Amino acid sequence: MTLVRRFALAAALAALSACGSTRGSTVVLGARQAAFQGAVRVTREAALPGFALTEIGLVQAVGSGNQNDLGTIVARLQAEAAALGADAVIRMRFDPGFETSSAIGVAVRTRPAAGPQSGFEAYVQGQAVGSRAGVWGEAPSPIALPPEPRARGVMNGPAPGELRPPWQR
Amino acid sequence: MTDARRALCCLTLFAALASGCAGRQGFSIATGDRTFAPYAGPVQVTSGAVPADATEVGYVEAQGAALIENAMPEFVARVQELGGNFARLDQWSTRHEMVTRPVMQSYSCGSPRFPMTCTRTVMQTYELATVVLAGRAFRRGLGP
Repeated sequence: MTLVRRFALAAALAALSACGSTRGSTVVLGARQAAFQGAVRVTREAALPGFALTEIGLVQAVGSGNQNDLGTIVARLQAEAAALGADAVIRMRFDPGFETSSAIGVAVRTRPAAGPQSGFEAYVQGQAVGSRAGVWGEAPSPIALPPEPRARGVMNGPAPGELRPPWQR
Repeated sequence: MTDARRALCCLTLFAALASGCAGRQGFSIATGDRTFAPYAGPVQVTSGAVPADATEVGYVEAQGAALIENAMPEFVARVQELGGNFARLDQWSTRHEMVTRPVMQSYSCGSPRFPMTCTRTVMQTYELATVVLAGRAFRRGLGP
């Protein structure tokens, strides 16, 4: 490949990459956990039937240019949540703009609810997030993770026959 | 007055007007029966349930540029302003608006023999995204 062709290819790649981008933002409210490797569920609801939720943080994804679409932005939101150790994003809100759009939700870790009710128990384990004005995100102390409910490879979901969210039925 | 000075004056005037119209980045309203002195300690923030021992002290709203990490410090500061040490995030949204601002550009305007640099002011339109966090401030640990 000649030098001119290499330069042209590099310029084309640079131009393509400049057509759009996504970026993420997180605010840890609970305790960051080991990155989650499976598929992260996303819902606009505040609860997942049959699951107890532990709050990890607020996550946001912003897309612009040719990546200003719901699918791309939600995918980035899932990646941000997974990096915090979350396996679900609840209360997701999508706000479309002209050239950029944004989605914000709550990253949570789920586990099958012990009782009939599912609840948001974040306040039990919540961390102090600001020791003085304008500062938040004090180093969270580690919390005891709930035991793995199922064998590896099963995405923290209920066993067959147990209560499942509507989209898994 | 030269073009450069005229442009500088326009920009200064615009900035002054804009800053005069710009609202605060957040606000807080006391809604509880009791008021508290501003609090400087840690604030626990959640989007989940409010514990039973928390007493509501007010409503809080904060804005930040584009990202939640820009709005959260303001949110925490407003909670502390009310004397709260616990907060619940009730709502969040991103507001998008098209904004026009003057931008000063410089360009070559002389001749090869007498090179000069001139300035001009052009209006540039761009999209401004603002994250809004709204919630309630609480005080915990007051006892019965």
